[in-house]
Amino acid sequence: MDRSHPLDFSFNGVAMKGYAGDTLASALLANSVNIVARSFKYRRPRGFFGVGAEDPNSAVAVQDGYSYEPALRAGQVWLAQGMKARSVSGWPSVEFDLGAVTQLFSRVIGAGFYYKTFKWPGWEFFEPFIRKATGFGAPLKVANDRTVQQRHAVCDVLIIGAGPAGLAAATALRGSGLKVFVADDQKEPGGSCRWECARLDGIPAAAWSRQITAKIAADADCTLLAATTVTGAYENEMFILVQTIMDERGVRGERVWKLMARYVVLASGMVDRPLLFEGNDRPGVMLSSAVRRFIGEFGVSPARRLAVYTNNDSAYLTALQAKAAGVDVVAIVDTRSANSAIYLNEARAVGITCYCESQIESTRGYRRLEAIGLRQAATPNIVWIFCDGVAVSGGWTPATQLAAHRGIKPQYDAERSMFVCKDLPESWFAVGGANGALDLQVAMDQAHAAAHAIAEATFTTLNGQRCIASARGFGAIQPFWLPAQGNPHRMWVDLQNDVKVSDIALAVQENYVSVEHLKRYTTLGMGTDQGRTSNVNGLALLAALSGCAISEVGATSFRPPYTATSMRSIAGARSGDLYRPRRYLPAHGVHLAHGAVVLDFGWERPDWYRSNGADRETAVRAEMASVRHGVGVFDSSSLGKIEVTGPDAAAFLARFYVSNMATLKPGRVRYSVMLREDGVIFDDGVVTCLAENHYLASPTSGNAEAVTAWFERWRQTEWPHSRVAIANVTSNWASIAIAGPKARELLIRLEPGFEASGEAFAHMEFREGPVGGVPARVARISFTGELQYEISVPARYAGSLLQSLLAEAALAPLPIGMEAWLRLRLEKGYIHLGSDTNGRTTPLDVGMGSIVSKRKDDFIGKRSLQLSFAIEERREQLVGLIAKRGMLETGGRILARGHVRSPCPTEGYVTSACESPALERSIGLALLEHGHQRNGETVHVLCGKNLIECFVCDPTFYDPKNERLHA
Amino acid sequence: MMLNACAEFGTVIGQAEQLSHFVSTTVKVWERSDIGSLLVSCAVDAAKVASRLEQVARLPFPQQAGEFLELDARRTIWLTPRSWIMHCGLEDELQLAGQINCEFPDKVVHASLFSDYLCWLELAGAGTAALLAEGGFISLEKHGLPIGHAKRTLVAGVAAITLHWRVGRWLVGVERSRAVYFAAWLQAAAARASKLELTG
Repeated sequence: MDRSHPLDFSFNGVAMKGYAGDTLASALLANSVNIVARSFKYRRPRGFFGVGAEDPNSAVAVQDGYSYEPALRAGQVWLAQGMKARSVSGWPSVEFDLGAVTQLFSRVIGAGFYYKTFKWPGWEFFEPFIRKATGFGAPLKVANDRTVQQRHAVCDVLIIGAGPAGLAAATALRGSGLKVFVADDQKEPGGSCRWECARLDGIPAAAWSRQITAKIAADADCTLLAATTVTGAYENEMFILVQTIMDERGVRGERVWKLMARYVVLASGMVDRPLLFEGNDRPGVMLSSAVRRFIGEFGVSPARRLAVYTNNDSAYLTALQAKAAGVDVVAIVDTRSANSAIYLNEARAVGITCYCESQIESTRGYRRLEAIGLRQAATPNIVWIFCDGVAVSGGWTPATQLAAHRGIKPQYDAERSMFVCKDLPESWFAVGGANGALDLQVAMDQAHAAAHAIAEATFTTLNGQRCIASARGFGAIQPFWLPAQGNPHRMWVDLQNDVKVSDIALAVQENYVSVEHLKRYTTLGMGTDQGRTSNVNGLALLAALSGCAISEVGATSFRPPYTATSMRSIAGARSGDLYRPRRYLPAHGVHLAHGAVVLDFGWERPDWYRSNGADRETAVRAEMASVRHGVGVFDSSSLGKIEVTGPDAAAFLARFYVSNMATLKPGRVRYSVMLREDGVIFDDGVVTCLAENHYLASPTSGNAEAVTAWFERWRQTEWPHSRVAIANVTSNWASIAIAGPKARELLIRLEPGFEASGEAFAHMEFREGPVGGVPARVARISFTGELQYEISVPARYAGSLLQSLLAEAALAPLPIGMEAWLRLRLEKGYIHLGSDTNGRTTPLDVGMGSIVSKRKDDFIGKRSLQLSFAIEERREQLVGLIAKRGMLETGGRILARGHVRSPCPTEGYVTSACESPALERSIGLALLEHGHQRNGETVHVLCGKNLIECFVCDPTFYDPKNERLHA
Repeated sequence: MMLNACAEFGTVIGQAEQLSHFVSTTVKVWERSDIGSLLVSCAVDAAKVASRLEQVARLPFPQQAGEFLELDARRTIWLTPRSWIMHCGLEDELQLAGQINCEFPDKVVHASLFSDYLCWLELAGAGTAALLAEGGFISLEKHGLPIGHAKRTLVAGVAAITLHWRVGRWLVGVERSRAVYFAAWLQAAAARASKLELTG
């Protein structure tokens, strides 16, 4: 706290003052803010209950100088100059909420109310109203100036929590040569050293923690991350940490760490557990440890007249600290006998009235606690004590959520009355509060022991000495779960979701005996506080009411994140243009210069060119006409290029493709498909034999990396002795296809270093030599049905090649986009992988049955093609469709025979469709049941709302004799 | 007729030229279009052919994962147990590939032209390591990637070959089609670092 540095802020529009070092919670308390929120269901007024992430009540929307967050816990928000905070619940205001009327019906809207009630006419009818009435906070359109940065790091030891135990572990490990990360969610490390009365190594704990922190910060092997929350623990000891970077205006940035650690010291502390009593949700009731911290660290008292209610000794420390700070401590109510209370005499000595073997039976007050009614075991009457605050402590709950993220189930330790992690992985060490230590020296010794175990495992030496602590212990806990007195309909177990003792009793009555079912039925612990203060009480109640031990009930699961993490942090830099890596063609700039309209096809590729027409349809028709009657230039650089070399390369490739690549001669090209083991088509493309033992496989654009990995996987796992090397060289080469009757003429303009005549360079042949004066690979293949060459040059020449081709004005070449290219191949009846095939399509379905049957030797997927699923009669097979009238659409469903209107069974669907300029009809490819036997049949295709009558035909619509591509 | 070569970021081909549009107070970036590359792949155990390969290339070929070796302005980078990337002058690429491929006509070893596959960026400056660490685990070693070592890993979701070349100097080879994205990401990351005033 820096009281020389005042800060202005507002809450619900009211101007207030705080100080640097304040949290929003401490500042609001100092400004006497009583009601900070409303509960979820009954809209009851809620004050501060905890001091940080554990607080179920204090969800607020916060706008600082950088950004806005719709739902943060006030105890986790550090005050900033000009901060605007407001409650996120309550209408018209948090002070006066009309929704509070639901309290009148609380008896009938208990657990399971929604499930039982909103059945007729249907949940959908009620859902909009219920959704509108619920929620914590809403997004707000404000300027976001907050920076999110990511960082990846590796360390030997991650210490989670820089309280006394975490710092002790770090001190012990310092100088060992191990790389240590220490993360703490507070701005200033030290944890309870900052507010508890203790001495460490002979000096006050606060001074000790500052000394240690300075030493750790100065150590090159140690990284101390303050204001950093470890939000998730994952496999291989990978952790996500969110570091908050602040200045006076607020949170200016967050750094998201992905950290891998060999060893983990979990020193995340523990939180107080509430006690149950009637009216325990009233503003003014607060966890005992929270009261201690508010007083000790922030110098603010949550109440003027404070009572303390406990079943252990730690709350006495709260009373003593409050008393010492000048708070009027009116009573300590202890459920235990006087013999158990180790600080009883000390409390009485400073004038605090102590009631042992007593319980709070009732409370008064609505907007603020006014009085507690307690019943002593020995007396029949209720004694009313007037107070505006109660500090409650019902025991402790170690913060073991991060261990739970790794699948560790906490187990109930009856002796200490708490859930602890007993089966941690070998590389994990829970120390201090996280391990249930109730004594500071025990916590420090655990930390030291953990450090020694790590040193031993890593063969390093520790220099640090054991830390000597002098502090009052938290003593023993005498569990007190279900009070004998008080109305269970007025005892809150989960303050955020309004789950009461009566709700749990109802669930048990309705036979919800599994803790996971209980949680979902009652919504216990399902709020944004993740049930930090409610879960254990809920489990204990379930055990008590169902007559079994707590250890039998078990615990619920914790999942990441540990506490609320903004979507912004998770997204990091992945937004806008950087959402995911984009791939650009090497001649991207030239395409843009020609008016390319670029779309994401996995690569950023021209869909059509504005230079070819004012609108897409006009341009596409012009581009198609250019290929059919002149020459078109298409950038096919994205097509995969995988060099397969070695003495066994031919045999190796033959195992992948349906066609026998082993018979492919140098200078020849062959088209085929490759299959998965199940016989389904995985990829298609051409393979070129560049030279003896040297092949170039050209998978589809989207599959280049997958096919490389597929080759490599088989080589390494099944044929490790095969003398083959696989090299993906896709991006090294830019490929420009020139297609059309004038393609040869255009190629010759580039002065190829080889004979390009039709006789010398036939269809499905390959030549290597200079083109345009640079090394080139040219394949005569066709995807359009026209004479076509694919010219590949090193990618640095891509722009120049494309520009040179398009500059041949005498031949009037046009740049061709993806849409025209795909329509051209559709006219020709060539499949487009992924469009005309699906996750079931085999080569038999696309008319490659004769190739399959000719192969005598084996290839991947061959055996599956003989299985019944592959040869069953009802398989969908590739056919052509010609519309008698109307326009076919991709995705149109083909109605079953005998049906002319929907709904009805269907027998297939249109996989590709277009208006064909060559046929002047709407045509399509389709996968149709029994398709190969239905040539000439008329089918009805439902395209949107239109029913299109079509002929079934051979898929090759254009130049079925292949005269044009052989020209 | 002679086609013109163009570097990915429009710098002068065959030179190491600083990317003028890259703005950072702690990092500078050069496009290294002067670096020629070959991808040398073995169809058999690399140890069986390494000495022949070294003779013909007149370069040592590292056998340890993550190693790279330099000699006379050339560099060999261990890529996989059976492949290396060779760095040479851009003008030497074809000749060197020819020499290797002639030595192994059975294709037990093959040198593929690779100069255009990767766009090489040189990064230098105090903030470089932190900048790269924003994009991914450059190394899983606790002290990071030592000088003289290379790693093929994901940086910003893009497969990259990262060489810790000299003190504070790094070479990053990014697949060409993703280089523009990578540079945009680098710029954005540098801007974020600058905004948070982070250098380490």
